[in-house]
Amino acid sequence: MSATAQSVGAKSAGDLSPVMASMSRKFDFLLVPILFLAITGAVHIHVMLLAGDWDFWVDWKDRRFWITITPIVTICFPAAIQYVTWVYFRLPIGATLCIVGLLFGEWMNRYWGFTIWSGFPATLTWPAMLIASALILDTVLMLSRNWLATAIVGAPLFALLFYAQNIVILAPYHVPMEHMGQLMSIADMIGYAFVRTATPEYLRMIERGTLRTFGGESALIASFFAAFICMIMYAAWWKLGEIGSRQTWIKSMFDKSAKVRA
Amino acid sequence: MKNKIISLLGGVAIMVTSLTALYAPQAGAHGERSQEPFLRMRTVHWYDTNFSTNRVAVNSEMTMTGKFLLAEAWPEVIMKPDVAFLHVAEPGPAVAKVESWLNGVPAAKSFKLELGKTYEYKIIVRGRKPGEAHIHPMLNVQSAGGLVGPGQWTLIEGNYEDFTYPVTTLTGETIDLNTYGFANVVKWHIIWAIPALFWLLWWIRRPVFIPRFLMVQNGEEDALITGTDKKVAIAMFIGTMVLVTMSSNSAKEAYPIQIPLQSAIIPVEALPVTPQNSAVKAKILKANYRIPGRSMTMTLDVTNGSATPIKLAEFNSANVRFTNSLIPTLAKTDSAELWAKGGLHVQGEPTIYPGETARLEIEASDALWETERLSSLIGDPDSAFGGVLYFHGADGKTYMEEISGPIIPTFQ
Ligand SMILES: [Cu+2]
Repeated sequence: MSATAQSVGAKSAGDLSPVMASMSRKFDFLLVPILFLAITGAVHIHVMLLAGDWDFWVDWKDRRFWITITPIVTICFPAAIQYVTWVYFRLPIGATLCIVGLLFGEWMNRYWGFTIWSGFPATLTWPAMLIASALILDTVLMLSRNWLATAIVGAPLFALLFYAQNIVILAPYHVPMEHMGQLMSIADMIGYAFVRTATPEYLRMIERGTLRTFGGESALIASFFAAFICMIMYAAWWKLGEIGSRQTWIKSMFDKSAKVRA
Repeated sequence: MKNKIISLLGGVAIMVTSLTALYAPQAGAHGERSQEPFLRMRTVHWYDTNFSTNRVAVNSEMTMTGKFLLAEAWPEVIMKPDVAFLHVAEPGPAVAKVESWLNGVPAAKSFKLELGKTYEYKIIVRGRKPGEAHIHPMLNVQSAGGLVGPGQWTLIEGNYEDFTYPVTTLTGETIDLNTYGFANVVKWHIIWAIPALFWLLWWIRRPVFIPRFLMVQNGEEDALITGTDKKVAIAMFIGTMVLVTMSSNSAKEAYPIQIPLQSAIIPVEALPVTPQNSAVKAKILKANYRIPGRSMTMTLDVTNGSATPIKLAEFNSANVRFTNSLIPTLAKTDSAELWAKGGLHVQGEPTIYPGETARLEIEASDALWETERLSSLIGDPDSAFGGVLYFHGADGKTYMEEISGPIIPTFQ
């Protein structure tokens, strides 16, 4: 019986001596929080830089750019980390780990930075939900055991579920109201009322372009477009995960230090 | 020893960093001075600025009113105000915006404005976060950024927790904008956190790294995923799909009436042309900036096309007011920080009669040239200045004329 999983017969490489097993577990408890924080930092910075305002503000969460950009940007790290966790450890948790880290980082940033330090109401600055997308990506990889199948099935689902899982959070903000004789959604009004000095109204990239001619279906069309790009992004970042985790890097590092010592 | 030095340097670095954090609010305002002088001198000329009060309680209102002239000497390097937004400059939402109007048009959306024209604004704000805040009216222009008007230190008094912002929706509900919807956000983030954390713990509860790595290397990877794992994964997959479908359907039922985000660019008609903003014409013949004296001199021909005798009372550039004895005091709510009292000298203080053209020699001098960082205009590639002259008419009205032109520095 291996320390990890079902019986694989008498001799498994996972069978460690009791001392080693306890050491290895200590190593786990040491490494898991460190990895979690490192992943949180990396994913959070990546998403802030590339999806920034769309995720910061409730009045930027539109039916076009937000839906297109957020999944495309947020699938990158899950794909790369999945490579490492799956290929080296057969752990189907890469995407969930990244997204939980991202949300943890975002909530810290929104609470301490936006709410406490800058004084914005939290109702203006909450982060979008992505956990459903991540769970699907991980379970598809685990059940298919194939990165290409995950790119073709899991990555589009990652994008398609993005808007769907946020509807329940966003719907109350799209109730109409009238202000100064103008029609506004509550989200528009929140953005109008709580002054962001450096973010004038026209900076909002919302519902621009010809997609508007599709009327109410633009959310669906944007989701499908994001789904298509996510397939490519997934494959590209899976490969990046492969390149980044090549043992040759570490090996060459050891070789170099060995040379220095010699 | 080396470590000691490093930790000492680290300590100093941390102290310096924390000191700048303390210093930052004292430096005050929000960097209005850091903007290049040409952006402040040749874009939006604010005038008649008025704040209804300089103390406002949480939940009570303050009104900012005034006018601005969009300079004809608008710099070519920035876009014309085809997309502009009337806004408030403040450090975070210390006051919340209640209403804003430009020439009677609601300013929730962006505007298309015209150069050389004047506009009148009204902004109503509501006290929100107690403390002192420097608050300005501001015009954001695409590609130019925020062009701020005269600011006022405003004391906001009361309890932060008491702030509310009630509005009524078209579905008849009265809600508080400050908190609306947030409990629902938190609820759904917690609901989704449960399966996510369960999934992570499901795997981390077993040895994570070393044994799994060794087994994968040994070709035993199939043993690392059990039948139970597969069942749990299938359940997670189906459960996630079901929860997404159910939650979005329930939201569509709970909120049957929804509209997309609203955004548009709307044209606004400028204020009509009147003698007060058009009758007086000025032509710059020569302008110098004397660096050691922090003073600007200019020679210009002024033609009085109005029906009343006029006298120059003020030169205003980048919200700095250079006035002479014709403006002995300021209105109570006017900002005194940008007032160069007695900073304007007109050779002979002549009265210009209707139909007459007079040559004026003007000197505008004050340390504000330096403290407001306007003197750095000599570092601009086009070395031009801009501003507005205000003349007092014998009829009690004020006549204005925009001026602009090249400027030559003198170094001694
Ligand atoms: Cu200020």
